Amino acid sequence: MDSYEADRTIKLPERIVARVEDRLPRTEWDEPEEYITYVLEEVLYQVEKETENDDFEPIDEREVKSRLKSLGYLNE
Amino acid sequence: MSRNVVLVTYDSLRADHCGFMGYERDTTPTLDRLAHDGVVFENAVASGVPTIASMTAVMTGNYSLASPEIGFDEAQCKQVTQRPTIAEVVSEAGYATGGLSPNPPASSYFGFDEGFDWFEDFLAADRGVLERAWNRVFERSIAGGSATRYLRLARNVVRREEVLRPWEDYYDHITEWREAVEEPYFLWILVLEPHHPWVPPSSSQRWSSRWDKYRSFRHYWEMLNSGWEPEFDGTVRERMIDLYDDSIRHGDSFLEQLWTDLQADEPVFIVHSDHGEEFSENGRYGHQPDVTEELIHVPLVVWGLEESWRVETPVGLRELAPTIAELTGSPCPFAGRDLLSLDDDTRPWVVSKVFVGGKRRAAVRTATHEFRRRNGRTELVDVTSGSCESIGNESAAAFATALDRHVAAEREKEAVRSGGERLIVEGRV
Repeated sequence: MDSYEADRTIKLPERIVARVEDRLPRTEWDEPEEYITYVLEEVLYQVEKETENDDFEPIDEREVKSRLKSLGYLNE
Repeated sequence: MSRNVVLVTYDSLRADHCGFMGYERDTTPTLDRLAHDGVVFENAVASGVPTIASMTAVMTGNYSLASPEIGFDEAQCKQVTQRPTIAEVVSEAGYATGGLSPNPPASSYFGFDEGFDWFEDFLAADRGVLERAWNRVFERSIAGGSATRYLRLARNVVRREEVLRPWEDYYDHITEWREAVEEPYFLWILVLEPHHPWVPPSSSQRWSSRWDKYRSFRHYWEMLNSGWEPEFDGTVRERMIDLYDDSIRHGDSFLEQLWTDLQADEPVFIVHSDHGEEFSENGRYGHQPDVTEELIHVPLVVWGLEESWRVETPVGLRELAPTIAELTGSPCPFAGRDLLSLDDDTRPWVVSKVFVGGKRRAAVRTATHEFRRRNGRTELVDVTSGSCESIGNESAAAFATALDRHVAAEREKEAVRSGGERLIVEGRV
């Protein structure tokens, strides 16, 4: 990975990292981080492209819950 | 100590036809005993309808995004095989795994054998045999078919051949498997008894008569030929319900036998149904891919925890996968809740959905209401009274928001999946 790029540490399940390590011999990379970063970059590029024109607005689940509750649909 | 786990799936058993759910007939005496001493989920909801959509969710913890009416479709199989299944997860954790399903939509053809050391579906592993079995009993092609087909179907049931096997025919396979494996084990059995056509053995007939059983064939044929919208009068409808209830009772005797025979292993029993059945409600019979209350509300009981309680919060069958992972101490790759440790802050609704011709039919189910969106139309049903409410703008908007949130999450997952597929197609990973 580019050493000058800022990074953050995140946890991944061991089984995912093990599967990535199994793939490494087929690639030009030495570290699982490099493989995972590549996959995420590529997939996110496609995902962002696919969803750039949709009218998504973030919805807070607590807000939905409180609206249903105030309308009498949730017995709590 | 790792607990043995037995998952029993009834095919087509409605929640409101079970004794412990308040049904007036004594259809499920064994399940009622388990419910009395176990955990009862009063608002358990199939995550999809029919079997293939529902069981994909049970096994993978994910909704099926394929259209079940398409039948033999690779896309359908991928929904199961491209994801870790609960059998794979517990197998990797050291469990012996056994599965038996006499129903083609939950067979090895669609990948339901994944993770099972032993899997029996009575269908040879060649596509031809499976397709013929499917066509004979389940596919639409049977409708409008010749009288020969009808006779063959009737003959198969009378002779107890192929997919319409009563549980007594295959029970020995289960006990033989049990004797051959070391504990802990995970065993899954799909019990086809409540599935039409209903031909309960005479010894199990309490509410229907021998003649009803023979007439049942003609009725079944009419259901198939009318696209599941036959014009039955009230008498025929009552007769079909009598046969259905007798078949449920016969299916319950399977549970009694298995529960008795496995007592020494002290397993946890998880008993549920994949979906319900319609008896003219909504103008239909059977269980077409849809999300009406009659189809999505299913029984769910967990027995063997030395504690009993009832859960009113709605839960989805897709949450069985994380629950079983937790129960067996396996690593859990599934999203969703462990149903045995729900807290007060848990989400008070679940979603059920199925794709028909690529179009989504979906419902948001709370403990008291069901909001459905199908073919661009919305409905709100009070499930405690069965009445359909006209929806005020505010209510519709609140429910629609809950559903929109679900759909947005589904789209994001699909976009990730298709992005990944493109990488593979292009040979970049």
